[in-house]
Amino acid sequence: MSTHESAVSRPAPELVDRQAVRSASSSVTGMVLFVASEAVFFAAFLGIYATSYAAVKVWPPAGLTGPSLILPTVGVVVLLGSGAAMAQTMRLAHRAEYPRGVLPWLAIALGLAVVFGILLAISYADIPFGVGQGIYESLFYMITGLELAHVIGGMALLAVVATRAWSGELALRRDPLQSAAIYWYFVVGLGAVIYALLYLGAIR
Amino acid sequence: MTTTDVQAKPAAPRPRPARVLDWLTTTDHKKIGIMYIVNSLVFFAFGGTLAMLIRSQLIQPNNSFLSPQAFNEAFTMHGTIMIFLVILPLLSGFGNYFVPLQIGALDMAFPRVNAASFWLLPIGGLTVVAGYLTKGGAAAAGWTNYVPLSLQEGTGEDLWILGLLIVGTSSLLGAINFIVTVLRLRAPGMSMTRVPIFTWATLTTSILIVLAIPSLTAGLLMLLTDRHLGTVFFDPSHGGSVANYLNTFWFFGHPEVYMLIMGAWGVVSEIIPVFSRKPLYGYRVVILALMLIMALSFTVWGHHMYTTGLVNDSFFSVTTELISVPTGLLVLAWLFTLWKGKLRFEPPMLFALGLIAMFTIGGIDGVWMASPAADFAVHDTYFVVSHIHYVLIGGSLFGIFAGLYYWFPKMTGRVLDRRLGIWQFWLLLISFNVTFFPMHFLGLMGMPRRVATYPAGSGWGALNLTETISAYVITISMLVGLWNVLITLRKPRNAPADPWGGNSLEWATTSPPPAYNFDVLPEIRSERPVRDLRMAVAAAQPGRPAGPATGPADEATRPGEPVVRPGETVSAQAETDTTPGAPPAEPGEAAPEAEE
Repeated sequence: MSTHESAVSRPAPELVDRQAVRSASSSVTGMVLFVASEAVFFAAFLGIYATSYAAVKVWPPAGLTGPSLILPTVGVVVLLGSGAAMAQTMRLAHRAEYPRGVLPWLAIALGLAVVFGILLAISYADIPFGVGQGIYESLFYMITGLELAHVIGGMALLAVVATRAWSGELALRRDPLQSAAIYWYFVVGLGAVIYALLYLGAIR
Repeated sequence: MTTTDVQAKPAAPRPRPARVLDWLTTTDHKKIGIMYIVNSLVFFAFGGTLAMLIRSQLIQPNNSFLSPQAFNEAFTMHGTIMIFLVILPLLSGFGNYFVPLQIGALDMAFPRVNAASFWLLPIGGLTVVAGYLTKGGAAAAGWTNYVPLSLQEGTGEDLWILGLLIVGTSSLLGAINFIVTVLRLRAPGMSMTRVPIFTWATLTTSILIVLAIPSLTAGLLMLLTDRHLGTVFFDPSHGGSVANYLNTFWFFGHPEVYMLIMGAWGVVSEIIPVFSRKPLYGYRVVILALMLIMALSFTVWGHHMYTTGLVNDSFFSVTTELISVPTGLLVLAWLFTLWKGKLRFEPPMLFALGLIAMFTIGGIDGVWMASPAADFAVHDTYFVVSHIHYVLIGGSLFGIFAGLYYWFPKMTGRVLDRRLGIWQFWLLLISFNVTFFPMHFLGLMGMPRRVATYPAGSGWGALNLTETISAYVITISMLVGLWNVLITLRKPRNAPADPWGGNSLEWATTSPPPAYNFDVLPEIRSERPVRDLRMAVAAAQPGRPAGPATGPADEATRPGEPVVRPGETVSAQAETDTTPGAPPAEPGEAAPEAEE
């Protein structure tokens, strides 16, 4: 990346320029660290899942009727599709038509994220158990609820970078797009893990 | 150019409201650092007052100065405030001020995030403290906040949880900012093996925060939903378990202990070489030790749970004993730095030496309790109280005071009074030991912690009386320090750029530094760039006192010996040749090791 002119002139321009150039990729590093902390956050709940699993003879715990699988299965496919669209967005980010060229794929990623959020929200309507019936039920509502919150956060993030790509603001830099992608891959991967543990894991 | 005109005019003092607004809206890492420190000191006064209330209650058997409920609230809030709102943010305050300076950066990587992480801190802190205004009083389940007790508490407990969630967010944002700053914004030549140890310690602390705080967040969130939304994470009758809380809390809680101490180690690792006039012994070993401690601290949380029967005691005993190896390396590195050094017993050095001694006592307590057999005997007694205070006062707080005396001239342009500093040190050292050392004996005699009083025939009265009187003397030593700060702030700003003969880059700029820190950066070819500069100036002008400021003259007037470390000479010369505008370096005067 080349050194470019900076509006700040005090006290030593070369120091300011250097900071500006290095700051450009700082947001990606920052996002990687944020995602690492998010991973520990979810690992705490998954750790409780693991110890609860190990503490009982049969899993899912006796008396549990698992959630219906139809909507969640469609949902996880949609979510993985959104992740794939994001990957395609990142591939196009290195082509000449950047930044507007990525907009169609970014829009698909965002749209599928919205669809997933709606499916997850609808699926709550016919969950056959309450939050306080057991450890599985508590974990189910806590983890899927947090996933939904993270998907909503991801929608906001994708919408922001889409707006900035549309306005041409991202013409000289990719790091906001890259940061959004890192976050989104994490949420998509998390969705797949949750599907395996909480939905498939509840089949008798 | 207009810039020269602007610089020529003396800056008119801004009106007071505008100056207040400057502070409230600033993103300058130096101002934010000072706000961190001031905010922490206000909470420190509050937490200290609570400690005095606790000690006053324990002054005699069957005392009724505080009700049991008030006593529970007092020790809960004392612990919470001191850990989350005093020691950690004080070290963050130093980090904010000095990490960008030490690596030659203009500011933190994300200045606005930095301001946000500061402002979350008083908000979270006041939320915790606001428990006192609720009907049921403040949280009273201890700073560890164990279930099921914390499930049964009143509104104050909810405020405690919310407050800590906010404070945790503040720490997390701050930590990400520190890591990115250190990784991305280092000046040219400032490789990771030339970064000052304080910055390294802030880096390892921040990694701990990023990987440990989320576990606390998860635990607090489950506590909140168990209390209000009917989840059963901690309810054994529905398949939950108390272990779920213990594991999430202590997975955070033990790295937390290292978050509170590593910064203080970093401060001391800066001060001891400067006041011994020697390089830090084993600089790279110290870095390695910090990284090992960082990694190992995630494997030891079970030693808080030996007596619960939920963990494999042998495993956690081994990992806990293991962590004493890199910690021992640190202590040895400091001792070997002192060995045959030309020691100057200024207040920063006194507090640093105090840390070495006191932290070693606390550390040895820790090694001792890492043995499950010993831990079963002293678990939940005053022995543990003694251990934690030797580590957090004798370790962290001594390091913080060392840093305060060391860096106060840089932050304010005024050197703290030496005599008052020495008085504060000796008062604190003696009263701290008289207060906390006897707690070992009380613990061995079986006095339980967190109990509001004790019976008259227990034989614990005399030691408790001594401790309480001595605790009041700790308060006096703090007031001496406060008085020192207040009178020094009224003195003229006349501190030189480098009052101590420092090594790291913060001493290469004015005291206090200008906005954006540096007009020019010295060349960085070792982990002690300011000393290199001082040596180069002295070598170029024999007979004149060394330094850009008033560095100690004898460092320069002693004739230079041949360079001891050949690796350093080669790299220094190689870099000098390739850097335009560097002073001409002859082999003899590149880096005379006058100190060794």
